[in-house]
Amino acid sequence: MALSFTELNEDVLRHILSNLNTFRSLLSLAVTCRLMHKLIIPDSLYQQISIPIYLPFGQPIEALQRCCPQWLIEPSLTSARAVRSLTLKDVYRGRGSIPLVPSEMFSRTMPHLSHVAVVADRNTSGNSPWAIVNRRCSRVPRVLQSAYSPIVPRVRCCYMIFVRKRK
Amino acid sequence: MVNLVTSDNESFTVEKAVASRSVLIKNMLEDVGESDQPIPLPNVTASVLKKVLEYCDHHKNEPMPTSEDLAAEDTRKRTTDIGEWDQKFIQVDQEMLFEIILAANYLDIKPLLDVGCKTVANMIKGKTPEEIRKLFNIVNDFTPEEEAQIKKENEWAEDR
Repeated sequence: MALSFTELNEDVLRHILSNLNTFRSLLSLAVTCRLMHKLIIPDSLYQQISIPIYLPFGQPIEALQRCCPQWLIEPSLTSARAVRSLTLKDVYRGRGSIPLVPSEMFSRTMPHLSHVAVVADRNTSGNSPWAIVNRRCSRVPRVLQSAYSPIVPRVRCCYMIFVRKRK
Repeated sequence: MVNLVTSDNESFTVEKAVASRSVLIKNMLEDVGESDQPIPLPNVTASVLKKVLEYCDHHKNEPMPTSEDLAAEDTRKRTTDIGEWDQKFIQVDQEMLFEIILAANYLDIKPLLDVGCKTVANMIKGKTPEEIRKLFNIVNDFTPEEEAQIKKENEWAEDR
């Protein structure tokens, strides 16, 4: 009987995946069958994720539900459970008040998340265009890094916020 | 010279420099020392070993990749470029391609494993899930509900 792709051993399949360097290619393969989904989603595709979020000035946090991926806000989704590192690329261009993303939202949807980076647009006004806070204020995340990045001209500042220690 | 015996009991006598492209065989030769004893390869058939030895013969004079080379390959962004000779060599039917990959993995011939895996990766790139299923005869074992859920979860990434 002919040897098929899904009969290749896991080491070999991982080697093939390591040569698929675009999100779209990995995603296309991940949705072909259960085996590929199990192999790709946790380890390759969603472990480190970078997403743009547009939240217009003055909009409440609930508006996130209309402008960000479903897995970011809905608990118990496979994709979200796989996320270890999340980068929010901020295209917020409002002035004045700071949009707040509650950290409990992340810990509920992404239980294994250990790092969040918020990359703010150069055109964003205000000193701290995004903040991720715990609304209960029991564990206010500590800003580990806040630096201007000369490498990416559009980026004004990058806040690395430690949300939850991995055990 | 080295005598290799395949799973279907065929013997191949090859130069030591050719056989030693396989880290597995190289280590076995170092362990047993000078010997006329044939080396059994129970996981490789004659047709596959013939192709593998063709690759090893062509590359026999190239330096073996060091562990530093392999580590550097892992850390830098991988490219899917394949050399001209290797491209022609790997133009085989799908089953042979997978057999060569498995043999390269078993025999520990990292450059050949890379060529095979890059070839498969290149076949996948730019294809839709349905096209990939058709290409590799993958059975869609998701329920309609699961498939809908997966589509919903990932639709945000469609433009990426």
